[in-house]
Amino acid sequence: MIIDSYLLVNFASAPEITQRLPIGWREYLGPEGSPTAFPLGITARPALPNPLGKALPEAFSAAGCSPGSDIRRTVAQHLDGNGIDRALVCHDDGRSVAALPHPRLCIELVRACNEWMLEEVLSADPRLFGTLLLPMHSPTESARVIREAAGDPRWAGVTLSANSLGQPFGHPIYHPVYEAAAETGLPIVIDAEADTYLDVMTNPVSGRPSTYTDLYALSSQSISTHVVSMISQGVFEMWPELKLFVVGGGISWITPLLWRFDTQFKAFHRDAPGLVLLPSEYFARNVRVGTYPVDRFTSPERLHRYLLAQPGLKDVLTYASGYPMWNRDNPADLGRWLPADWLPNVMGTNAMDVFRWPTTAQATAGTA
Amino acid sequence: MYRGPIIDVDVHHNWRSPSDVVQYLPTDWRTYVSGGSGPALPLTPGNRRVLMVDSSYRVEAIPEDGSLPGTDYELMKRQLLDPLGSQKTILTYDIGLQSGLPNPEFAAALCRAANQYTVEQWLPRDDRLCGLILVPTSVPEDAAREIAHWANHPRMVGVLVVVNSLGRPFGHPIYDPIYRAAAEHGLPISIHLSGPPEGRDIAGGNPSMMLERYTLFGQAGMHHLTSMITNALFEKFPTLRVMLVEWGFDWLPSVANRLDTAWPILRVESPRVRRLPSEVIREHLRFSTQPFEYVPARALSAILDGFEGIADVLCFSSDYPHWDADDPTRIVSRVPEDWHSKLFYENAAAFFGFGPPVAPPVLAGSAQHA
Repeated sequence: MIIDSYLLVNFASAPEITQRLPIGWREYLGPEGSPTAFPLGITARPALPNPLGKALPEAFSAAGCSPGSDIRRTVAQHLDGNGIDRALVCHDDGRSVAALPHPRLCIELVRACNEWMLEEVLSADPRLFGTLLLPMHSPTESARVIREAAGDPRWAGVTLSANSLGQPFGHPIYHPVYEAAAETGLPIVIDAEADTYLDVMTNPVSGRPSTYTDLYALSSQSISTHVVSMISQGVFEMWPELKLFVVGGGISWITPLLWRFDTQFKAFHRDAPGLVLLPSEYFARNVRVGTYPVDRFTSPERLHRYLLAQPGLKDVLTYASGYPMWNRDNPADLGRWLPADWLPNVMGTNAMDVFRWPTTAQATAGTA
Repeated sequence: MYRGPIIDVDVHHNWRSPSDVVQYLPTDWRTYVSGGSGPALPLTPGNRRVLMVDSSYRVEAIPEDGSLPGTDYELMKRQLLDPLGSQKTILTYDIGLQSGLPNPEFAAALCRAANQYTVEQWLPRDDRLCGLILVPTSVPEDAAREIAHWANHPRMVGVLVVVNSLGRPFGHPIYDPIYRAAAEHGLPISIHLSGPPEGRDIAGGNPSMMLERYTLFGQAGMHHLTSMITNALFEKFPTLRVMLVEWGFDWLPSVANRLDTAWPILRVESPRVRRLPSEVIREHLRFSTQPFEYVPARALSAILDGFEGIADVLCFSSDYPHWDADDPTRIVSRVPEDWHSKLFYENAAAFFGFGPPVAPPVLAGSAQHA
């Protein structure tokens, strides 16, 4: 059983989404297909694009289309090609709609993106499951979106897709989201990109970066903060069953962060009197990390030793391909870079444990 | 047990009273800091509010008269210099935040005064003490002048860069005058842990507690490192050496390998970069060891081994008199024995241009029981 917990999709063009908006917002955005329509676009452009192109050439169905916008091509290339049994689908550019500065428009676009995901993506193949986008300006509205959508078994998680309020995700303002997620059994997904759109950019720190390389090398920083924040602020004391899945920063950031976190907890435990476990124990219990992109050390053996230094990491890592990005990892890449006896857990078992999958009866009904 | 010589690259000294340093200011600035009919102006910029006030120092380092730790040479000698037996101790102010004062001309004047204070009040007291030239970072040309002013002083052995006042990480070309001056005078740069005066120093939003901030405070240092690589700093100044002080070091394997992975991209977006980032780091960058990670030795070496040649880039620091100061005796058991002489002495000696140790080696740790 191979589960890919991070497969990215794009809509081919904005009208696929905007046609699902009420007429008022469609007028607001301008005539569909017109070059003057909403010149900033409904999705964010990155602060610093990858100058070599962000996606695999074969993932483009036609010139000018977004990579990963043809779900049939994705299914054939990645699911069939790599023998993937299940995949968790995340929006690529679409996740940035939550970074739009207009909170009400954001609510409508998020709704349209979620609808598009169900109708255009998840319906294409029974192996596909989705992550719900949330209108991140409004945690109470986000909680409502979760409760409304949760009845559909094709949603396997919810994404905090953009840090629209500029607060670390443990902040109490987000707690209604966690309450709804815990109630519905959906895990929280945080993507390293959530803090990189210019409207909400908090990463990297100490001034803007000069190159994409800086962004790439430092992409684990915002998810590190969110993990530390959610543990410190007691989210996993309040909702012990809640699972957090973070992805997009690789895997080598985990061990040094947890060492530091446990050490500082000994010094500053009075900051967080509600915590009854060590930070690393909450991490092991509640947090799972997508492998994308697996850190390339100078040799696999060096990476193995590095990963084995942290007991229990084998149960934390979850295969995440990042298809169709330039640096996506195929199952064979994980076979090369991870210890062989970790693979059953990382390729499948761990993902079974973190995401909300349909019961066997539902799954059979869905396939039939 | 390590019986060899030690260099301590981060010890915080401070003035007992503001007047100790204000006396070196020109008249106009002395009038300015007097505060008129109000209280005297502080000599440091305003601070973020998530800070420990009383507990950021070791309590035993508070002098008997109740002044700030690090202000009493005799106490420092008794608690640190003699027991540790360091051959050289690099003084790093506490922590030189004067460089980030918002009034640029005042910041420059105060850096000059602080350097003069160190040269006159500290260095003559003990041959083991060395100073760093504190530079105002908001006007890099002023910083270059400050470097030139003290460069020939034999006991001012490097440049202390604190607070990226211009809101750019320290690899940005806007700071090049600092690096050019340091390279011209053959002085290395120490960049001490510090945030930008405004704006974010933690990715993902401002944390609310020290637990979070102290866990994450290496983030800005990692960006300073990547920006020095991606802006080709060491291609521009091939003799320049930089030490990241107190930003941590166990994140280096992770960040360096990610930089190397992005090499094909980096070459396109920064054509001046000629060598693999990890090679540049090995040659030009050094990392102070405090706060050391007190984890089992095997786990620590498995992590550090992720960066080839890590033993050549680490330099011991105590961070006295701060609350989380490190003692060499706690480090020796956690790193391989063949690292000891590099980590405690040779790497820093090469960095600051010190020769071989002069006095008979002093026992690390054991001297305190003598």
